[in-house]
Amino acid sequence: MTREDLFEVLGDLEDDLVLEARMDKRRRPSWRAIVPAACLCAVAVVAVLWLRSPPMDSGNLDGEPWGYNKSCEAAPMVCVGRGLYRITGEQPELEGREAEFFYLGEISSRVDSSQKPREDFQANDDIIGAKVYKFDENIVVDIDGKYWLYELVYNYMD
Amino acid sequence: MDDDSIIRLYWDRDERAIEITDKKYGPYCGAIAGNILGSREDREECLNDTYIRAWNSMPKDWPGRLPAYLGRMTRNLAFNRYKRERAKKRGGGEADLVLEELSECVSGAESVEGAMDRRELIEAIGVFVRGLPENKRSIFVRRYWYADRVDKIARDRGLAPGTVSKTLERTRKQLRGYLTERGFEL
Repeated sequence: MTREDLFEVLGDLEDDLVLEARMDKRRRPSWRAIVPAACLCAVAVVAVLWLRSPPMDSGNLDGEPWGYNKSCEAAPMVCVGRGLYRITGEQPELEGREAEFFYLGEISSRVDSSQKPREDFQANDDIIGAKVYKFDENIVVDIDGKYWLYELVYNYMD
Repeated sequence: MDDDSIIRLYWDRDERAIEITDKKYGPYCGAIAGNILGSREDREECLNDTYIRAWNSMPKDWPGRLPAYLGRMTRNLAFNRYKRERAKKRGGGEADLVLEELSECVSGAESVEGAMDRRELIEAIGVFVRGLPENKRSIFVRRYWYADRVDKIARDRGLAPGTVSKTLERTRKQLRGYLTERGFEL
């Protein structure tokens, strides 16, 4: 038997095995990775809380939860499924991870870049027609053939 | 749109079926083709071939699991294209490395087995894979069905690439032993 034959035979694995592995395509850090990361997060959270000294009532920015910073209004954002997503500063490598995307729809309207998008599939950037995919709890937007990660910053339903 | 509605569009010969398939499963199938073929151009051509084949086959078939049906179709088409391109000495994607690894499991001699032997071999490999622990099973299927890169599998599972490579090496040895014990001439 040749290696090509074996590769072809492996292609006939049953559907459930194939789809199970597809579902595996999300990051599962080991405990060795989680523990130091959790310590770093804890330090970062304490530092941020200390620096920002939030008001006791946490009320700010049109009633949005504390932690939603007005400065992010200038960043490219999209509203999808009542969630407000903001482009991330550090873009991960998304090429080749398309199997983890789930198609949601296309950006169909826009608001001014100084405003927050509030309607479904609305952006504050000129990206009408861009395809939007679900990617874990975040979304990926295909802009002119390049994938951009947008993180969930606020849910209008909360 | 749910998968049954998409299949219904194929059965009704409604051309929106292809557009919707592309939106919903284009990234999934594109990733499989991209892993095997490497170049973006080949990936796109392979995706188009997949849609044509799906269009031609769907009035006969009603797939139980549409993504697996399309994914398998893409994999087969991509691998056939890979073999043609390799004959012309043009480079492929991850397939070169995947095949090199799989060569440890086989003799390399041309097969003379018939369809019955092949069916039995498919079943035996299925039993073997199903019997693996979940972590090994996923790593194995991602490498040898999806042709995913080792570093990508490692990153997704929070493991070192060397650990994934070792796991795959051990699993390949197990597979060869399992099939040899059952009388398959590899």
